[in-house]
Formats: sequence, structure tokens, C-alpha cells
Amino acid sequence: MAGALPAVEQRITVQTAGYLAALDQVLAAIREFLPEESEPGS
Amino acid sequence: MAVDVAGNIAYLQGVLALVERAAPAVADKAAQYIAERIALDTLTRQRLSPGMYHRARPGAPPAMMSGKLADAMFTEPASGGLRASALVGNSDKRARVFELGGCILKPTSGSHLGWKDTGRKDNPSGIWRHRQVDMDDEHPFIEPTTDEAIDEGELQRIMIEEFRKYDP
Repeated sequence: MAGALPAVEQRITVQTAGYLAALDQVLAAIREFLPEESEPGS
Repeated sequence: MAVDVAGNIAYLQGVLALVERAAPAVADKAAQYIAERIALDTLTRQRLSPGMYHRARPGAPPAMMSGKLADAMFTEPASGGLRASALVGNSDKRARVFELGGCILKPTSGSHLGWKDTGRKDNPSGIWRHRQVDMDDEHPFIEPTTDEAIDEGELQRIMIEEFRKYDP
């Protein structure tokens, strides 16, 4: 009977999306300081 | 050293690429820590010789006899990206009964379950025969160990330590 029982398990979930979103915001802010690309030949 | 805007962006893009690998690694580390803590601590708090009479206190983790329960701890590698899940578990056939309780053991053949141990005062022979054995009480070891590790802050410490490898 007991042999038919499934294993007992616990799931551990980690989420780093918030950290990445913060880094993305930093990147976006820095990109605003990039000079606009000049037209070729101008 | 001076860093221009483009260099700064390139650096942060590298950071992003590194951090994207963090969640599975941190989940794996946490699962491995819980599995080891159960095997080396929770399941070794009370050691008994094989064949020794023992009546478990309800709610107490299983006592260690052969060590098979501790040996049956396992982890499964994390899956997922920014949100990753790892598994920690026990594959011993008794594990679910210990963790969750709610089980009555009955003989699969014959009318009685029987075994012999070192006995107690009212049964010094140690020979036991029962029509059924009530295993209704829980003797959890996975959930309480995880809760302890969280309450003590140890699980968080381990996870932050692992995360730092991906956070320059």
C-alpha cells in the first residue's frame, strides 16, 4: 500500500524579475544621455 | 578609470545577462540546503538502534534508525528563467505518511500485523500483533525544516550569498 504513495515534495520558487526591472530602468535612464545618432553623410 | 555612456550601457547589459541566470541557481541552492538540513539535522535529532521500542511523540520528526529516510532526500534542478522553481523531496515509501499523517496500516495478507522489538514494561517480550496500526499523527520533517530555516533567516542568507555571484 505504502509503496504506491508518491514522493513528498516541496517546491522552492525564486523570482528575480523585480531586480531585472530595476536594472532595465537604470539602462533606460542612461540611454537618454546618449547623443542622438547623426545622419550618415551629414 | 573613466567610463563613457556607451561603456556604461555595455556594462549594465552584461549585468543583466548575468542576473538572468540567478533565479535557477538560487532556487537550486535553497533546495540543496533544505535537503541537507533535513538529512543531517532534522532526521538525526533522535537516534535509535534498529529494533528498539519507540513510541513517537505526535508532531515530532521521525527518529533515525537505519538512516534510509535521510538517504532518500532528493532535489530536482530548477526550471524556469526569471521565475525559477526547484524541488526538494523524499522518495522513501514512508515519507508521505510521516509528513502528512492520516494513514491506517492494515495487513495485506493474514489478519494481523506483527513485529518484534525490545519491548516495554507491559510487554517485555517485544512481540507485537495488531489488526491495524493507526498512523494518523503527523511526523513532518520537510515543511517544519523549511519553516525553521526561514524563521532563523538562514535560508535567506544562503540565497543572498548565492545571488551575489550573479550581482557584480
